[in-house]
Formats: sequence, structure tokens, C-alpha cells
Amino acid sequence: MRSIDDDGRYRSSAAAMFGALRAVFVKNALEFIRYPVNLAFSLVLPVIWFLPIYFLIVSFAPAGQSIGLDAWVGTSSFFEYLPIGLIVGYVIMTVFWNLGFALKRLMDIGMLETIWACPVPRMVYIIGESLFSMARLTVEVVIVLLVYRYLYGFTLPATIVANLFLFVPFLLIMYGLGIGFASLVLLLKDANTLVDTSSFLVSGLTGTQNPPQVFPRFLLAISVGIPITHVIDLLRSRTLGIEPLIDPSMQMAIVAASALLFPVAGVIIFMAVERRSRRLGNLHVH
Amino acid sequence: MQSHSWYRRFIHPVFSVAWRDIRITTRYKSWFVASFIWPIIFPFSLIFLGQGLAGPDGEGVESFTALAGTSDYSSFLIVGSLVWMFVNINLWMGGLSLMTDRTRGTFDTHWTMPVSKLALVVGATLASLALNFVPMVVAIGFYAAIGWLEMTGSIVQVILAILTVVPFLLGFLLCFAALTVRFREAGILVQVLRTVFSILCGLQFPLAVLPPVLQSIGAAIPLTHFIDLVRTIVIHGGAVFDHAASVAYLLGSGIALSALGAIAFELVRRSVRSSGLVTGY
Repeated sequence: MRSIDDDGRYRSSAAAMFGALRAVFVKNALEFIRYPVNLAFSLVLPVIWFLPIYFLIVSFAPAGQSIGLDAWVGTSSFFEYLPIGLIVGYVIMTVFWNLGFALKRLMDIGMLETIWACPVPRMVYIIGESLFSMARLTVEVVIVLLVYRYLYGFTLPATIVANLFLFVPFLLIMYGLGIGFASLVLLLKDANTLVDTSSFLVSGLTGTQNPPQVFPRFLLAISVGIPITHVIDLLRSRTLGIEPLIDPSMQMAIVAASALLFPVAGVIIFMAVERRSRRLGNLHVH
Repeated sequence: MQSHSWYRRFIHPVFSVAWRDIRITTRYKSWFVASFIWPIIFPFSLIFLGQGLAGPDGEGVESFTALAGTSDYSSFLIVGSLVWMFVNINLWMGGLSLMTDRTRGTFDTHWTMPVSKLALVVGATLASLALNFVPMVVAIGFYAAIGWLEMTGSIVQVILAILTVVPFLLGFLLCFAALTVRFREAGILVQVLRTVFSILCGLQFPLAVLPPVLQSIGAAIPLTHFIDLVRTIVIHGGAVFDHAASVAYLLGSGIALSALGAIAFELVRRSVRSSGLVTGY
């Protein structure tokens, strides 16, 4: 990738790529802070949305201690068990809505063809779209976890720090999934239901709010086939000392292999679909 | 002549708008997913959360039973989730119909038609109710068939119970539509309202878990009576009119709110016309 700077000189490909990523990041940051109400609600809504779930939990486990959870996985501390899944759930939702949905948003505001005509690789643009949302997600998750801690009594086990490295393969898997998903938006156009349903299903089937052990057999088989389930299970078993779903070394191998496979597959799928869209000339069609 | 005019200015446009919305919505294949798949998959997350807390043999269900008056948490949560979804979709489709018109760029055209403006909202609400009624019944049937919903009452009584909430929904959506005409952007309001309803009406958990003050506020909301009515019929059986007080409260408050909504909508209509706020975002 080469581009021409303000003085008419060619910039190196790496500099041009980082310039494009920076430009997309700044564009999204400016869009976000331009609507102060959205900014306020992005912090308030996760706290409000969680209230019904919180009341349901305390109706079963008044002090956060669940005999039922203990019978499933060997720990009764639901207030420690849940936050790990919540963080993973947030990342899943963010990637689907911001990486997958980014192209739909551009379609809606009539900018997709303009952006597509820019001398920037589409993949760089797609990744750039996710950078600001990831930065935003990190800040939001930290704030929301602090609020959950002091308002609801949820705590993350201290041992989570030693296991944060698991978020590296997890993010790679999610990026692969999100990039592949963005191509579906080019194919199917009406992405709202698609994003909503997929994000909900992935969050649900990976057990972000419950132990996967509660699933009926056929759902458990699907759940075990999704690498994100193993990321959550590894985080839970390594931080809370609970019984893992399958052998942890096998889970590590699944997560590592998926972290390599998913991004490559996502990029290949996206490029193939994008080429097809350009050939058919249907980028502008809603 | 008067009745003919009433038909032309209100009844006919109501059905035209409803038919238009049904055609637009069903034109997209994703409608099928949204209408038939969502009501089936949506309660999953709460059911599995409940199962995780209850344990494999119901070891952890004691506290819930004391608060909800039933140990059948699965039926309790399925009914609550479906009602929440029904209200939520109607808020989006009916309450935000005029805002959707603005987004599509057809609001000004529709607003200047020689028909009652109220018909635009009532028609959209009618379409929303029609489009969402069948999937809800299908979802109840699905959960009953797989045995997760212990259906003690009859489906006819459940349908009758659903009809008792229609006047309340209509009145509420008219008030809501009036707000969208005045303030234009109301998406955030929907997000807040659906959560407030969920909490104060105990849609996804037993109301008894709330502090007494919030329970009292919840008891005054017709939706709380509705969810109690549906849950009682589904879980314990019986007929709608065995709960005469709840039915009377639902219908009475619904009719009063509908009248109030129609007045509020008319006042806002005059206000935006005189202050030139009809066009623009």
C-alpha cells in the first residue's frame, strides 16, 4: 500500500496503513463525542440493562451464593462466576455490532461507495472501524465492572490478572469472526436482524451467563464446537478452580488453533465476497 | 354523511396504514427470523440462567419459589420473556412508527394527507399487534410442545388475556407517538422504558424481590396485572374472568389511557403545526 503525503512524496506502506487506521479511529471518536447523550447512555444503559438479570439472580441466590451453581460446577459464588462471562459477552456484542455492522452503518448514511473508492485497502478500513470501538469497550468494561462491584456486589477474582493473556487469542478469534461477518452484510444487506440474532446466539451458546453444563445434549455439542466456549471455560476454571468442560490442554490447543484459523478464514471470505460485490456492482443496493 | 366521513378520515386510513406496514415488514426475509425465531430463542438465555442457579435437581430453587409462588421457574421466565418481547416490539413498531417515517423520508407526505393523523399511529399499532400476535402464540405452543412450559391453562384463555392489554398498549403508544412527534429522536427512550417496565412489572423475575416502594409502584402499572394474569392462567390454569378485578383494571386503565393518548397526540399535533416543527430532524 502506497500513498502520497501533503508534500507530494510517496509514504511507505506501513506509514500509509497506520495513517489510514488513525484517520478511521479519529473519525469514529469525533462521531462518538459529538453526541454527548449517546456518550452518557453508553455508560448508563449497561448498568440499567443488567438490573432485571441482577434481580433474577438474587431471587435464586439472595447473597450471591447459589447452591444450584455449586451442584453444576463446584463453586457457589455466582457473583464471582458471572463477571467473566459478562466481559466476554461484551466483547462478542461489540465485535458483532461494530465490526460486522460497520458496513451496514456506512450503507445507511450513504458513505459506503465513497469509502470503497478511497485508495485504502478495505481490510485496513474494516480493522480501523473496530479500533475505536475496542478502545471504547475497554474503558466501558472497566467502568461498568467498577459500578457492578459497588452497586451489585459482583467481583472479579484477583487471579484473572494472570490469565488476561487468554484475551489475545480470544480477540483474534473474534476479529476473524467479525471480518467474515462483515462480508455477510455485503451479501444480505439487511444486517440488523442478522447481527442481533448472531450476537445473541453466540453469547448464549458459549455460556456467558450460565454454565454450559446446563444445556441439553444437542446444544452442548454445538457449544463445545465453538472455541469461545473454551476461552470462557478456561478463564473460569483457571480463576475459580472449577471443573473444566474438557481437558484444559485440549482447550488450549483448540483456542490456539482457532486464533490462527479464524482471522485467515475471515479475511479470505471477506475478500471473496467483496470481489463478488464489485463484479456484480451491487454495493449501492440496500 | 358524518359516519361516511369518519370512515374516510379514520377507519379506512387505519387499515391502509396497517396493510402498508405489514407489506413493508414482510417484504424482508429477515422478518421471518425476527418474528418466528426470536420469540423461540429469546427466552433461552433466561431459562439457562435460571437452570444454572437452580441446579441439576432443583437444589437452589427454594428462594425463588418463596418469592414467585411457584417452583416452575422455566414457565415463569418463558411467559415473562415473551410478554417483554411483545411489549418491546410494539414499542419499536407502533410507538416509533412516525420516527421511522421520518427516517424513510415519507413523514411529510403522510402528515399532509387529508386524514386523521391519529390513524397513522393506530394503523401502525394494529400492524404491529397483528404481526407479533401469531409468533407469540407459536412460541407458547413450541415451549409447551418441548415440555419447558407447563401449560395448565387453555390457549384460548391466554389469547383472551392478551386481548385485555390491547387498550393499554394502544393508549401508551399514542402517548409515546406524541413524544416522538415533538422530540423526534426517541430510540433511547424506548431502551429506557422497556427496562423500566421489565423491572417495575416483574417481567423477568418475581416482583417480590424488589423493595416495597418499587413493588407498590409496579402494582399500579397495568402491565403488572397483565403479566400476573397470563402467568396465573398458564401456570395454574383457570379462566380470564376468574380474575375480574385484574381484567377490570386492565380494561379501565387501558380505555382511560387511550383517551388520554388521543388528546395528548392531538395537542402535540396542533403544537408542532403552530411552531413549525413538523419537518426536519
